[in-house]
Amino acid sequence: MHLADIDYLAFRGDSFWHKASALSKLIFAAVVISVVVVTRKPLPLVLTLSFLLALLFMAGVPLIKFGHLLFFPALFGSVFAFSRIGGSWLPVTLVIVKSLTAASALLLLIATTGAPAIFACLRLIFPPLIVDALFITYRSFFILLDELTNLFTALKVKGGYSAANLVLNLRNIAGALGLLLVRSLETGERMYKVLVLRGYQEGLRFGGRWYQPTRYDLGPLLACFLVLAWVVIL
Amino acid sequence: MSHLHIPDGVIPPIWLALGFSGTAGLLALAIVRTRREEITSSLSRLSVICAFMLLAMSIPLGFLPVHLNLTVLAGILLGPWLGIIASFIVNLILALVGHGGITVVGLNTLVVGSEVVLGYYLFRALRQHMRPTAAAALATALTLLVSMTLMIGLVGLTQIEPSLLLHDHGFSHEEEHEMEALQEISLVRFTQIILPISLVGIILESAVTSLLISYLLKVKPDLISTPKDEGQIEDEQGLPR
Repeated sequence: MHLADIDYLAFRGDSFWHKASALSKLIFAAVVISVVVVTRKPLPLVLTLSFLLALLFMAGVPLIKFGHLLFFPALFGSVFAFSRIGGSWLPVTLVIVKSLTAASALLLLIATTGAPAIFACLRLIFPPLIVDALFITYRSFFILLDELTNLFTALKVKGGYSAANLVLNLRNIAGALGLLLVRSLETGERMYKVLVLRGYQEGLRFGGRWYQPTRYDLGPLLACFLVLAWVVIL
Repeated sequence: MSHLHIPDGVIPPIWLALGFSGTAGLLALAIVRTRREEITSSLSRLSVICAFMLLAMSIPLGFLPVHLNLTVLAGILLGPWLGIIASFIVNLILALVGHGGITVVGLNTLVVGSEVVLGYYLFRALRQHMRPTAAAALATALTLLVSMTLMIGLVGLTQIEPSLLLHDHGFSHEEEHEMEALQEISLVRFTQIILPISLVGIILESAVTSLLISYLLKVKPDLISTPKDEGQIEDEQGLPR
């Protein structure tokens, strides 16, 4: 899923889109997804997709590296469209364009905004327990990812993983996952002790300035206006 | 087959709204139930299991076009209420990276949540009659079969109409009739595409869940308790639980 690379890009990027507040970018993503859900017109959707690809380019998101994040929704969309709709090319294309547009909007959001800032914004909608769990899950993911990477490297080096040998893969992956699961649970226990020590109460504080508007917010807000304008006009 | 890999903009808004409403209700209930327990302890365990599920999903299985989900294992380790919250969190993070639409998170949480709950209760029931590894494999297989049926049922229920998608956009009546006729057989075609992939996924998931349960029983047996075990503990301690 390349979460680590996306996270790095979100924190290290320096484009105008990176500098806009998380809230304005979330609003833009919400507008695009609403357009994808509601509109039935191909032209505004194609325009929105082109606009998003241009924004991704300007924000310095390397599509060669993260293109698969757009490819999978398109693939799932096409499987669904071909099986449910049949051979007519226009509805199938529309479903694929819709999938690509929504995925591009989300990629633009997560590749230019740190996950803690997104989760902090989600606190406006979700209960504190859910947001805290999202945040700790995200942190735990990176802790466990290092462990899994080491385990996987060890498996490959010792000949425990082969792309063609499913039985071998399954047995060894299950062993690696078992070890990882036990370590995950130990991490959870340590985390529990740390939370108790710090006097945890529901609603972890986020120190960033995700709620403060900046002059760069004009970018996402103007983009919202443009997308809505051509959806209404065309 | 676990979550729906359906992208945004395909399922009609009414179904998306129903999915989110159902999920909101379930989450509210799960949070209320969880608050009665030790919240801090639950939170850390919930989060690491969610992270573990996300990691398991990212492991390549060679040439097979499927990935592990480990939802039944999550249900066994977390219980049904925390399991529902875990389903939502995992689906939301997956949707953010383009794995299933963000607007389908509600429906996905219902499908995956059903796996967690059903898997938990089936494992508890089956473990009283067979070895834990066999119970885990059977519970996983049965649960995933039910969720696959649920998924196909949902796709059938949502009745995505191509003629509606493109109404007034240059389609002749003949073409619209042709598409309607195609749609009548399309659920069968969808099932034909999904079924072989799902069955491979079910076999793999059952095998891995069973192996993981076997590993946990050797290393941390206290994590997997059943009513039978709890009864034994109750007898030994002589205290009501």
